Amino acid sequence: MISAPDVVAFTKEDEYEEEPYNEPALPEEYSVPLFPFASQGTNPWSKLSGAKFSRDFILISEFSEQVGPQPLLTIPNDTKVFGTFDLNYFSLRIMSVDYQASFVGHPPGSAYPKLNFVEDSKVVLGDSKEGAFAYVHHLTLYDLEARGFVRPFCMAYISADQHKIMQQFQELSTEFSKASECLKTGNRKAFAGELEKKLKDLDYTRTVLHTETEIQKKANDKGFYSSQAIEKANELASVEKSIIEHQDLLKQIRSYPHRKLKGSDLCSGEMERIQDQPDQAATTSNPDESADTDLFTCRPSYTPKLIKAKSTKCFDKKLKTLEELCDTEYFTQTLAQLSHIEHMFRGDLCYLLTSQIDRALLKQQHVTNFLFEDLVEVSDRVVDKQKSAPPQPCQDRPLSRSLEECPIPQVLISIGSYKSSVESVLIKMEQELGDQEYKEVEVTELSSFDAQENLDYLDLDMKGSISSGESIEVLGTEKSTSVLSKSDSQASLTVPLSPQVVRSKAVSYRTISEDSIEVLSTCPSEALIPDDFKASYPSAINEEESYAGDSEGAIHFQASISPPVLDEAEEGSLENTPSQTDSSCCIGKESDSLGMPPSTPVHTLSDEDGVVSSPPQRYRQKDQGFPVDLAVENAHPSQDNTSEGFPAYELDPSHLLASRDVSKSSLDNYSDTTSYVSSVASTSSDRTPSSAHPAGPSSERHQKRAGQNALKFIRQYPFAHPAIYSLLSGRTLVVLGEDEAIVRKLVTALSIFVPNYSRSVKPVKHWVSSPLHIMDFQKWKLIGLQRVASPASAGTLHSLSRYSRYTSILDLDNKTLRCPLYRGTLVPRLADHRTQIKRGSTYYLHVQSMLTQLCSKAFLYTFCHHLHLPAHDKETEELVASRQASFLRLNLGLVNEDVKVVQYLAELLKLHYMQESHGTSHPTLRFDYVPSFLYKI
Amino acid sequence: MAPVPRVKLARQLDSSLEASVGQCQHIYSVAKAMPSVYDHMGEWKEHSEVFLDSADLWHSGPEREGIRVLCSLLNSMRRLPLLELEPNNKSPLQTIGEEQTQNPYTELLVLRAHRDIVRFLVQLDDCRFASAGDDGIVVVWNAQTGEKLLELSGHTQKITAIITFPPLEACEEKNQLILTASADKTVIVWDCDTGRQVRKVSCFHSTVKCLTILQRLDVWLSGGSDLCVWNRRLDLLCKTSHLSDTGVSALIEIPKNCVVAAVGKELIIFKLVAPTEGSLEWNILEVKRLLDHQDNILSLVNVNDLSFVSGSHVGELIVWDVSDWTVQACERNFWTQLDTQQEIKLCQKPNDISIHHFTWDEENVFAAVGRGLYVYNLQMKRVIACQKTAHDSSVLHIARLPNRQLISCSEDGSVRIWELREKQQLAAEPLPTGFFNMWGFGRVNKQASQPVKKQQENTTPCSLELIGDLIGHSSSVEMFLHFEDHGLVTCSADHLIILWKNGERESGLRSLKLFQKLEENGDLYLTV
Repeated sequence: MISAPDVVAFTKEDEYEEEPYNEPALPEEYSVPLFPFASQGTNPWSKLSGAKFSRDFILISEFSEQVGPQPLLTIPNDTKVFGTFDLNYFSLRIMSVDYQASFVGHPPGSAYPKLNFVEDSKVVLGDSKEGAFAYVHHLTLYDLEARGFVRPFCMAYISADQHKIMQQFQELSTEFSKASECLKTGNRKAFAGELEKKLKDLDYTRTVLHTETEIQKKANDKGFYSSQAIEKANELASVEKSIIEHQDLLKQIRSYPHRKLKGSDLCSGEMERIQDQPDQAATTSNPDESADTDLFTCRPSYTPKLIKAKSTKCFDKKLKTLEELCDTEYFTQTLAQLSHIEHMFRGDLCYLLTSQIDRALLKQQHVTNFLFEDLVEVSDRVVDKQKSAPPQPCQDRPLSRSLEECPIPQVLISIGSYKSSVESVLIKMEQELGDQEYKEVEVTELSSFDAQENLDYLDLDMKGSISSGESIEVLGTEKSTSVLSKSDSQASLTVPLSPQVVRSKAVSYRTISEDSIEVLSTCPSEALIPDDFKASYPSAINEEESYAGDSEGAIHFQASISPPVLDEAEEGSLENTPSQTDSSCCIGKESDSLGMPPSTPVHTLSDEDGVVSSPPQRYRQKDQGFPVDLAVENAHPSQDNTSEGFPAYELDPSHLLASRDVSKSSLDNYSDTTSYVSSVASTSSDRTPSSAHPAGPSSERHQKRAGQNALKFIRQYPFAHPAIYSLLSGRTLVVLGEDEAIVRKLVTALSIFVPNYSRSVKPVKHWVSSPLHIMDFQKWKLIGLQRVASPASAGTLHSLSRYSRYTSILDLDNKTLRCPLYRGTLVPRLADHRTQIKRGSTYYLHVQSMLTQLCSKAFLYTFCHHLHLPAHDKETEELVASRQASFLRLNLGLVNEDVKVVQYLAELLKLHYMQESHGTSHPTLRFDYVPSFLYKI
Repeated sequence: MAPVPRVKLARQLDSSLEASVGQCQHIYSVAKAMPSVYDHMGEWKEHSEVFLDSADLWHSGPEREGIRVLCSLLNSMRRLPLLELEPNNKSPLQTIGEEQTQNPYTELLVLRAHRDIVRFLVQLDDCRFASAGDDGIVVVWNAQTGEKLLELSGHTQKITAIITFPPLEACEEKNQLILTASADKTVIVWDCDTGRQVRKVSCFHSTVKCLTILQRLDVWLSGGSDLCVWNRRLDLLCKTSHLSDTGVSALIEIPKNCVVAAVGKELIIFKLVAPTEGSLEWNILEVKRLLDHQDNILSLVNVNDLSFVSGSHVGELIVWDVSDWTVQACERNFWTQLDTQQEIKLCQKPNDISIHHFTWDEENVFAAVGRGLYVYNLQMKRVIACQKTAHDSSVLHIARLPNRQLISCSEDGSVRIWELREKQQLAAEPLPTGFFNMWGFGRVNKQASQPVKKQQENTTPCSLELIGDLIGHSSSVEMFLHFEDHGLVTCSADHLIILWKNGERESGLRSLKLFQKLEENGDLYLTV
């Protein structure tokens, strides 16, 4: 709420310079950075660059041993989302860049198959033909029936915005690691269960074979073995070997947590009576009702089967689904996590960045931010991130870096290091470029930067290579199994890589497809992977790139935000892409009004930092809106735009949120035809499984709806001001009505004005039908109350009139309000019924920023020492009180009843501040003896 | 001139009256028979109530009969909950609007721990109090923060008496003790610093209804069907014979090692004989029985060094001399002026004039008489101020504040703050003239739409002015406790305890604490 996204986006640096008054500058930690890519001439809310999908989605693919790479499922599971996007093709791409050291089988020197507990690999991949960029998270699951016991999977976050993937890499990595961990845990469990079953089967088979052999021995007393007997013995031997192998596997899978630190060694618990025989065969035998010795007691209900011969090698068998591979429970949990990820990263990068900045700044306001903020989702995530990622000094960065101009709060800098919950992970980001000469420059230069800048580099380089059309960039990350302390891993981030290392890796790459794959970086762990295996890695031949090295090391590159060719018809069919149509039409209009012809050729923007970005001209006629508009934005200082800027400001939030809020739930009982956003939003629907992270009261949609309804309330009721004043001053507002839906809707809307007691409690009760009690007024500040027509309502009304001094009563049926008089100036600004704001989300942000202002006033009032304590012993209380009054009136500019609002907030601040250490403190009910008035429409 | 009876026909604001059209028509037909009543039934539709206070209406025979019919009809309409008929021996309830500038209590804290009626509150020290009630538990609270400090459970039935046992000066144990008596015929001594149950006595034959402590002798007395004397270690020192089945209802200490016990209609004086060189035994002797009360004695207090006061169910207030146990003064005529109209007591409850509680200061005894409050001056030996209808229902507890203020709580769930003021000249009240003064109309909530009292007696030189009311409890407020520093604590039959605080002062205190905490944290930078 500190920075509405639109405000940030349009803020230019020169605006600040022209500020006439010289107030002391904001402290560094409160400054809001500019949008990092603004100076590169890109649109702050990058549109979907001609991608064939309407918005970001998550794709889960598998490299099936039968059919090759295949897509399994998408989140959201809705064909509208990915549209005509070729999932099969993209699965092939993403599965083909798996460099993880998955190796299962008989390693040389080991008698038994060994499971290799590999870490997930995380790569970033771009496909400019598809207009898709993806964060790809590879993981390996175990399947007893699969070849080598492994099933390679990957989860990919696919977005049309490369910046988003790069910028949010760390967050994506964290979140996907959680999902992956969940899948793998479930898989280990399922795999262990599978092994147990198999062992029981084997044991049973052995018993049967053994009995048969004995019978044969007895029957055949001639002294030599028949061929039948030899065959049986062989079978028996192979079964026993198989048992040993499986027991070993079970041991390995169970010892997983320990294995991470110390290598597993072969243990021989209960295999003493099993002799080793090299033959590999299957068994056939007659079903027999022999008593089985139940060695493995985990699944007593399982009835063992005889193992049929030669069944394992068949290709026509059905492979297990992902859900079967993991436990169903874990699988749904993973899906929930993935849809959470999808929710989290939904929307424009600019929006994500701004909200991250927003949250980071809010975190610093720990004294006041509980009042009006929903900090539920922030707290856990940001806190540990801040711990793990201390801010990195960036003074030594050259001025040519675009990000350098924007001091980004700590949240954004967290890319540098990543500490997973499992172990400390070393991420190396290296660069590999086809052009050797360039690589030399790059790598040497790279060595002087920290990890984040490496990322920046990658980002820039990607940009350059996108224009080549047919390239995949791979950002390799490696998790080292060696446990490093945090400081160690951070230190190693800045260790310069020698060019030799990079080059030597590059040698081993080879092409695997007709598309050229440019591997920017790959870092298989040398320690983990045998050499012969590494040789089989797919590598890349790079297309020629036209890079021109600057003498200072700055790079000239082509910034291409233009998408590849789209058919006109196809684009037409993709008109349902809400944000795309939104943005192009509104900004196009704006550029028209500014007199810029849409067919203006290339606008070359040169920033002072020497970075030249030139939008390509090829697709200009298609996407004229963007380059043109950007040129306008950059060429004209923003003063020119002030008159037109306002409508744009008005439009922006919806534009930003549109892609974030494409879905409209069926629960939404509110449909306002004037609501531009919701009409857009109805084009697609969200059918993702409701996640474990419920879209709480803080969700965007909720805020938007609440804002819209609040706006409606303000326009509809002339007495909205005293009602809002009641809420702000802590006087419980009872919304009385017969229709539950209407009451609930209004309560939700008005709840944006209700100050919270603490972080956890929101003092709002949406619907009550029993008579109110004094406790209710202490607990809740906004109550929806049912009006019953029956005589039973007498009690309700009676209690309402009895406690009338504690409440304001808004009667929805009679359209009346009974509450104290309000003559302040604060609420009219907060809730102007003639406001130009049309959108709920905009209004919500407006309210939030007004309330922040109010909070800061309350903060000042609360923490000004001299206001509350006598200056000397002889000073009377009256003097202190008059000092308070004059401070509120003169310094804070509060009139009449506004004083009470700030006083109430100050009391909440005090209580909250005290509570932090004190533990349990009860909220008190504060009230005034003031007469109420009845307002009618 | 005879007082004018008034009938208030109150009606609830909602439309339930319209629902019973048939009965309404019946009322109208009755009222039609009485033109002077009927004239104003039309007004009834607009107003929630109609006052019929015409003197001739009451005195002319047939109309009076008509009113009776009307009233009984209205009463039979159960759907009108607020309907009541009151003859004018009740002044209408004085109300105060929402603007209460003198009411300091602008903050409240609801404390919830009990599961049944909370009947007793007892102050432990400057910042702690204990509450007890029908659920048999005792809860110790912090009066400042409202924090629940301890919960003492040991009784199986409701608690009937609670008293603090101050620590002896000489005694090493400085812990505050409290004694609780319960309907399970036990008395428990608690250490309310640790929450420990110190001792328990369970040899009673009946429920102990009152406890008193004679600190001088370091003994305590329990009053049930007999009177027992105990020492601090809970040894039974002596006891009286069986006094009555109803038991001792009140017990106070008076000088010369005597105690006064209220047993039914009688006050019995007992003398306590402490062990001397001659005899090592304690003894308790009945000295005198005072039989001046005509009904059960409900309240008994020590007023000052010279006198104690007792009050009975029928509104007799007797001031006794503390040394020779003689009647110093007697006030029986709280209602005498109404005797002429006694026959039209339409809904007067029998306990309307019972004296529930006393409080006192140097010169006055304040009595809670039925629904009213009376101030009885000990020097002048007469009532100097009264508020006949201070509450909607019986006043259960009153207490005096230092600044001539009085707080009362009642069965109607409200707590009211009164101030004793010298009355203005009677001339200030103009004589009612004209039709509408004869027929007063108005809503209950509107303040002073009607002259509150007809000054038929110019005997009270002072008046009790309502300066504030505290509304929070949803049921009868049983008792309250006033802390000088922390405000007021009320307990109620709705199982709740409410802590009423001065909002401004609390705000200041919170600021003080805030800056203290800032200083502790080292976040406070004072600019010079």
